[in-house]
Amino acid sequence: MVSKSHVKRGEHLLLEKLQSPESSGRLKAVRCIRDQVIGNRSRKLAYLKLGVVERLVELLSDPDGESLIRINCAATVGSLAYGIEDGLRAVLASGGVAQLIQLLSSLEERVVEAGVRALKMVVAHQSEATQQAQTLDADALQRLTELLCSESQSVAEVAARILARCCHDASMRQCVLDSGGLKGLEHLLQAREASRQEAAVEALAALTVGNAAVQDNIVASPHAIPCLMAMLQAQAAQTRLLAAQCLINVASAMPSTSDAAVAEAPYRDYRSSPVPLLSQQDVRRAVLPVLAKLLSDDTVREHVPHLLAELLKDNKDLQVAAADADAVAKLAYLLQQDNCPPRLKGGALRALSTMCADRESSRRQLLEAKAIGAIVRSLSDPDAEVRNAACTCVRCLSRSVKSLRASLVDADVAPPLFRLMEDANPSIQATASATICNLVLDFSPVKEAVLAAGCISALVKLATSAHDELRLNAVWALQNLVYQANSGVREALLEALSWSQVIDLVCDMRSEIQERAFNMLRNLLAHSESADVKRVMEWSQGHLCELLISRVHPGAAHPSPQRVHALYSLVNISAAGEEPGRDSVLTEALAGSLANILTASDAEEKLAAVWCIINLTNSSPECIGAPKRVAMLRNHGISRILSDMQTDAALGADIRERTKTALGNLVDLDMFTE
Amino acid sequence: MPVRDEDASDIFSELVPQVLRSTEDRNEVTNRLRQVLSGWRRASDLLDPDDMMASCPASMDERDGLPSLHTLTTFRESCAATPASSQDFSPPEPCSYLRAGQVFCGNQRVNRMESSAAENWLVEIQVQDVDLRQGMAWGTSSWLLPNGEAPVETTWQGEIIDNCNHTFDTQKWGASHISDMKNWSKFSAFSELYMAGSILGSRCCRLKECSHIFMRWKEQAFAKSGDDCGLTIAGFYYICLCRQTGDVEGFYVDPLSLPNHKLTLKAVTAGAPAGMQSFAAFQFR
Repeated sequence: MVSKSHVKRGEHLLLEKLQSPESSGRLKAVRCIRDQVIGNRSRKLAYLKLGVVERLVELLSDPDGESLIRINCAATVGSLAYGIEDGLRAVLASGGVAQLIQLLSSLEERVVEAGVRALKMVVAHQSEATQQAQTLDADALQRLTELLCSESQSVAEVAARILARCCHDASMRQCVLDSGGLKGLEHLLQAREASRQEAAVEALAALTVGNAAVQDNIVASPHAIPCLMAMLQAQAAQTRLLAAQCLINVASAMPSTSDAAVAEAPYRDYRSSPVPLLSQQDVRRAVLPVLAKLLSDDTVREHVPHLLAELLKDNKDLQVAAADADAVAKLAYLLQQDNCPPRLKGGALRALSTMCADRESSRRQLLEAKAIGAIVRSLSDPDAEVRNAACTCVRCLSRSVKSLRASLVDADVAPPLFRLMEDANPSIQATASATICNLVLDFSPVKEAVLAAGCISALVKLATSAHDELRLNAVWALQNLVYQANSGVREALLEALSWSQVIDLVCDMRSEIQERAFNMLRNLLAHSESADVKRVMEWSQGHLCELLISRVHPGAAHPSPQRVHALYSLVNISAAGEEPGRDSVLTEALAGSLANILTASDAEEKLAAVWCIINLTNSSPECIGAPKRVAMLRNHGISRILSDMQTDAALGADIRERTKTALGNLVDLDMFTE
Repeated sequence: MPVRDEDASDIFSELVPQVLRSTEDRNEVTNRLRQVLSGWRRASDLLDPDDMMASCPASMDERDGLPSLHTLTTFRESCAATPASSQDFSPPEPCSYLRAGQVFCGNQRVNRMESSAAENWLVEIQVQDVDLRQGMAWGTSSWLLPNGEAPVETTWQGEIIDNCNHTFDTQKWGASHISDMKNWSKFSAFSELYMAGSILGSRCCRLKECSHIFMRWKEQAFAKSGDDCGLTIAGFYYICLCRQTGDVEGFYVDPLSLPNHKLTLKAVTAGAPAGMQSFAAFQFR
């Protein structure tokens, strides 16, 4: 034991000795410092305060320096950068990374090994400065790639680990590929030692992210896929996880079926090959149970749900298999744990979203797992990734039948969701507004909450956004909001949205936005009383029918869905309006358009047109103007067209049946003669 | 919905001891049941359908103007000999009356001579969503009971008989092939298909051109009232929708409840004259 004052003096002394003219003195000093700082945080901080890094980097950069001094300097620099933010910053500031990379070109293998090990410690530290440390230039990447084929297996292993951390953008991955990195990694993949295999697969997992060229190369390699498949059974959970990640990344580059695999490999004698040719589905099916098991492994669990989400994306068969393997309940359980870390939470929400996107039974499973509360709480998580994932999950759940949507409402999902509509992150804003679209459907508590939170004005404001996606979501939400809404909600919309804004929306640059705007008008008019229709007419300053009839005109070449919504809007006015309303719908222009649609357009338009005729020709006692309207339709040849349609086997049953009803109306009015 | 719990429990208390004994003496149970159910037009809903098959004389069906079990079985066997390759098992085509937002209004009553006003319930049924690809429909029902209290609301899930996702065989909820055939035969549209030899096993080779759409509706939960509201949703409905008019006919089946609850509905649009329809549309995002 020594006193603190002695130690302090000793640190200064050692620092001075680093500049000793005698190389033996320098070596002794650097060894001594190395021994003191390795694994000792307080010593590291003490030496960092004295500026030891700059002195060590100077020694590293001395081309005439003794190998042993450089080796020990490298080890000390690596240790100082590892685990201490100030240490990493000091190494970066003093150009230490460049000097360590210089060591990699040494002719002495032990110097290279010291350099590569120190570099690994520098890039391994997780901090704000990590990105800078991990940004290596092309020369450095090339040198590291060359080292993958080093005769020293340990150098190759460490080089692979560095590459795994540094290949975070496409250009860096391409650089490694161009330098022949795959060959070295494949070689390493076949090593006997598990740690080396793991290093190779870790690098491959990083290299294959979103890089079709690398994926193709791995798939074409005769050994890589079988090696990775074998590693799914490795003892170490980390190795299984990395192999699974790698296989998920490359699966999309593989043939879609086993037959295709054979067809796409004509030059391989697959009959005699000991390795079966695998399809992407084979590989994905093999990965799924591995991930399902890893969900129960404490050491890697945090990373599993993200991979699961990636694996199940756009793959209905696997989603079913995952649900059968109880994945929904397992993920829901993890989500509900108090100490669930953000990465695990975000991943679990992503995976659940994938499984619930289109499967009602998975949604039900999630509901039964009582995870809705945890999901709704995650909408207010401080981590943006978690908020976004939670919002996506709520969106997937909200694409559900009413009874399940009701459970979201019960969990009080509306307030946090409304807050997210004003999130600083535009991606979260877009997801939140998309979710609102589903939740405002026909369920009065949410509609009431929307009204209470002033959400209609927020949606109307969003409908003028410069961001296409937000504008689309806003008008979509308004369309669904007025679907089967009561007159209070409809009136609130009429108050908040001006007719000139409607005109902007129906003339929007994006056709989809125009379509949603017409659907909104259709819903606004559906299931209305005549007073409601009058109110909408006033709101439009009398231009509503004119707008709808002009959109229906076949000559105007508007997209079919818009014409269908415009037609049903007219159908709805006819159903709810009094006689003047029906008379204002049926103009000469509309009668001509109806005749054209019935003879030329697609089935959806025809059906809407026939319903329009049915409602306009209804012979109920209150429809006193029906004979006059029938006469106008007859003048445009509608009754003859309907007669032809009734027996047209090419038309669908629904259109033929409705045509029969329309003709029946004409007969009832005794006008069925031309 | 169905039926009152007290009705069901009365019947249950009558039946259970008998059913326990039924393994020993089936005929005795059947006779006892007939006494309990005297005045009811049809006892088949209350009995295990296979038991009914064994104990019910064929003439009982013929009295009701429906094809007898024996006749149906014979037809089924004869049709099974028709080569499958010449048959069209396409699903029914879309119909304007089977879509999200469609509302049906009507009543449910006990279908027997001395049914009282208290057994005649007004009902409004709304289709919330339809997925023809999966042969599914979802909706809500709002029941106005004669006691004048607030309507009781339930949610239901429907299976559309489409030959691929769902056939005429229920295969659950206590139904058997025989009981299914007996209940479907209450719809004249089904009987016509059967007599024409279009029902092959549990599928139909003329669903696409059929003038009606057949479904099963199963209530899933009470939307507002609790399970202790004195009503039960344990059974399910056989449903027949007329494509041309939108009229719906249905029969509620629950072995432990009063039988012959008949549902009669018409497609309506609030505020519109009869025959007119209004169409809203939504899309999930």
